[in-house]
Amino acid sequence: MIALKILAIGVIIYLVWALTFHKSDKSLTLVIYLEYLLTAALVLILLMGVLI
Amino acid sequence: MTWHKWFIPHKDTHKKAHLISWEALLIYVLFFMALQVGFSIVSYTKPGILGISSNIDQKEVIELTNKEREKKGLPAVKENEALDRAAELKAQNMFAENYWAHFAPYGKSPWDFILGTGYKFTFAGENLAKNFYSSDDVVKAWMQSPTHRDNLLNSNYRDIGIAVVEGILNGQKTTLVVQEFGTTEYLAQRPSVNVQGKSVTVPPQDLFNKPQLSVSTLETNNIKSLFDPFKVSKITGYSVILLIASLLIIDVIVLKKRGVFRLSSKHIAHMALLSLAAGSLFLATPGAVL
Repeated sequence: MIALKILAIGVIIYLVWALTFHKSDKSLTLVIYLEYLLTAALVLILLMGVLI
Repeated sequence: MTWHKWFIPHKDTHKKAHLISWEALLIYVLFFMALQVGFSIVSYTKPGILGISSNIDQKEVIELTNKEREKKGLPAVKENEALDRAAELKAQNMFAENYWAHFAPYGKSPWDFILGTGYKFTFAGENLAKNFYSSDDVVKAWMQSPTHRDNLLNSNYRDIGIAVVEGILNGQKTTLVVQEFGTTEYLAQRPSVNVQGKSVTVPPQDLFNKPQLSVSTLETNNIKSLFDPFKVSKITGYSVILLIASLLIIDVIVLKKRGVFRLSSKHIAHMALLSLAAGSLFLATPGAVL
């Protein structure tokens, strides 16, 4: 469960960084947003499938 | 043939390879969700097909427990036949009534099993574990959990009983480990049982009514699970992470060679998250303690 907590924190940092960076860069599109969101969802589902 | 579009960016538009497009990511997410739903369906329709095969030895768990106690300067606990029997009854009851808890849904408490075997304790405790691969993994997991560690290292205990029982729980082949501690020495208090860090005083009426426990023999010798859901999830997880990471690296190399810029999400961020996920998967172990 510690691994899941670490990954959850990592995912939050990843998404916040992505939003901040692409907004300031004026490059945030729906496709880019979806790529980050789906990558985050994928890694969380991967680990939850193993641990729960 | 346009097979290379799946692995490298498009030669004219430089669009990402199909296998790392957002559509592919969505398919991976749906695939892993379907895998978990599939496990639940198989567990329900074909009990015992899924499960973990353990190699846990009852005597080894006692030895490892005493090693941990010795490290803290505590007296070793001695194996007690009545507590062994109580632990076995508890494990059998969890399989029979299909639950994973200290208190059974139909009312049986940890002390029912201990008193039922004739062990008149003044202080007792119970630790549970399921689905670990080895004795060492079980004791390590108990030591990593503060409440279980406190129970294992309690100086009041003199006796121990352990049961390692295989059966089917929630449709999956499961190995349950039940650890019962106790002492019959007089302690200046009413008999109590330590579960999950809480000391529960045994109701006086339970002390005088020896519970009638039905003993059932589990048919566990023929249980042979075909798939270990933990290993299947871990291997497919590693495979997808490796595939995405490799394609991201190829994407960077190809675009650099072509000398083109593409408005896209940042590969370094994806790689960092994928590395964290791979590390977390590596650290993940099966099993749970209660």
